[in-house]
Amino acid sequence: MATEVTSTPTPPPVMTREAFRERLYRPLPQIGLRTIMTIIVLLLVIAWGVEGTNASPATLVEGIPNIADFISRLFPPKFDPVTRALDVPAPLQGWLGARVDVTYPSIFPYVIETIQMAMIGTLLAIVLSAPFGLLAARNTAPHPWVYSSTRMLLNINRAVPDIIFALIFVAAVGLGPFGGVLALAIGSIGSTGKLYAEAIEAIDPRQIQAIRATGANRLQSFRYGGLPQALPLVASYSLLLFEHNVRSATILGLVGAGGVGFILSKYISLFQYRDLMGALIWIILMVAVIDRISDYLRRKII
Amino acid sequence: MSLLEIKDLRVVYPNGLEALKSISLTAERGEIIAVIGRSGAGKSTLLRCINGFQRPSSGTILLDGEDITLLNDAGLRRVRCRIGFIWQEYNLVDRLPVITNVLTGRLGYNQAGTSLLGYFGRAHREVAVRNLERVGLLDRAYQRADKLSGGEKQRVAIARAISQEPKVVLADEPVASLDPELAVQVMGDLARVAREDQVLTMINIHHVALATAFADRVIGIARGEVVFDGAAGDLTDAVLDRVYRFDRINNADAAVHERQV
Repeated sequence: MATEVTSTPTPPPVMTREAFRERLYRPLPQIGLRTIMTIIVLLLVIAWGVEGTNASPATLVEGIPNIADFISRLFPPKFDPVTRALDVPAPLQGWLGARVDVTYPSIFPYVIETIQMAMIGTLLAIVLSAPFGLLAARNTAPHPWVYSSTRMLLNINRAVPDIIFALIFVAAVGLGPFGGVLALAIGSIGSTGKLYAEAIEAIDPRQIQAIRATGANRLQSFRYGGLPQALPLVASYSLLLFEHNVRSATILGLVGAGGVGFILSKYISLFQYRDLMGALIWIILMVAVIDRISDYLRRKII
Repeated sequence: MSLLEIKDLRVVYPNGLEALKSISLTAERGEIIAVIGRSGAGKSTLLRCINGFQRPSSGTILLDGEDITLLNDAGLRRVRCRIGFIWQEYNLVDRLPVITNVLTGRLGYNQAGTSLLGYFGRAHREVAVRNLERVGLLDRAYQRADKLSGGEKQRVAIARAISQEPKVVLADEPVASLDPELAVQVMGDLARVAREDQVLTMINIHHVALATAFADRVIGIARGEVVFDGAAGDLTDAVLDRVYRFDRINNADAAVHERQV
């Protein structure tokens, strides 16, 4: 015991009031050994990262002509229009005739399909993530073990890229958008469950306590005291998830899970860069419109 | 010329509520004035007008002869350097140490870019340290503000306000969140530094006993108008009825109406 006491560092000598004032007067903080060591370590870490990624401004500058060349091959964009004869529904036939030709960019149905995938995938993800959120929040988890094992599961889920889930579900349900929907739904649980848990952990316990004090049971207290507090954040995260899934859904087609990705990969492999640009413009428009709508909804909720 | 001259101040909020009907008053250097009145009487609005947080609908506020209702943003910032504000909920920056909170009172005088890097010259630091010592919290200088008790927080807020070397300190219910014992101590600190520095201090306060104990002068506001303005000693029950119970004397309906609103 005695040796332990002597081995602890001696406490700093008690400062006189004068010395303490003098310390407070110093306009610049004293740079101690610790600060210098921290800076050195940070610089080393940055250098290590630069080394590992071959990051060099010179290489980038040399590459600029190649970028320009590639971009020039994207222009002018081509929209690859297709014309289909569609049956006109009976009530409108007198006006438009029995069949009518409709011309649209060939990417269009895939853009629609991408949005549908994101929508249904997000909806499923929300339903599946909610219980994980409750189990992964310290204040609602029934037991610390449940809390840490749920967090572990969510971490594992987050570590797996969406495209891997897409491969798995395409193998399970075949080529097409349904595989993509499942990939989005399952692939989102990791990050969404964690975000929901953070929202739940931000709940002020005093409001729940006030409801408990009325004799309400645990579930009722959460429903009336906790949920109203978490709801704006949960809704906001869900909309962010939807935006994220719209962007993710454009990639999943690369492995045959539906959406515009399939067309993109076709254009890339056939070197049809002008068609690729036309498709990109539609995707950019789609993402922009959806972000605006979701921004609007988020402002309404909060 | 008085330090502060307010004439016919009227504030109507966008929702149509007339917070101040017509306020006129003058105040001198070094006066300590308690402003009493019920919640919603317009006390806070009055203080917020004086430091320019609230633009009045009409009327003038002369501070040292300058009409602050006419100032643009830059002019208001210049005037605010000289007006300390103390809040009921302290409004210290929780994550900053106490000394930095007090130093923020010097930002108006230290607008160099280096202030954004945490640099305050020795002269600024001496002012902050002296004022922190005056409220008895020098030994807490390096503690984070959220580690302090309520009474300590309000003392740091006083040090922050007084470090502005203000002409006027405005305090909006400075002790309403403190227990009675602490309230007396904090009011004592506020009155003491205000007297030492000869700062005009206007304190919105519910507590009439505290108002008369620490202020030289009391202004009673009811329904947006000054209904009493006089020495603390002249605050009789009849006056308090006018300030606090104007609606119960012969107009019970108005009280009911007010509660519903």
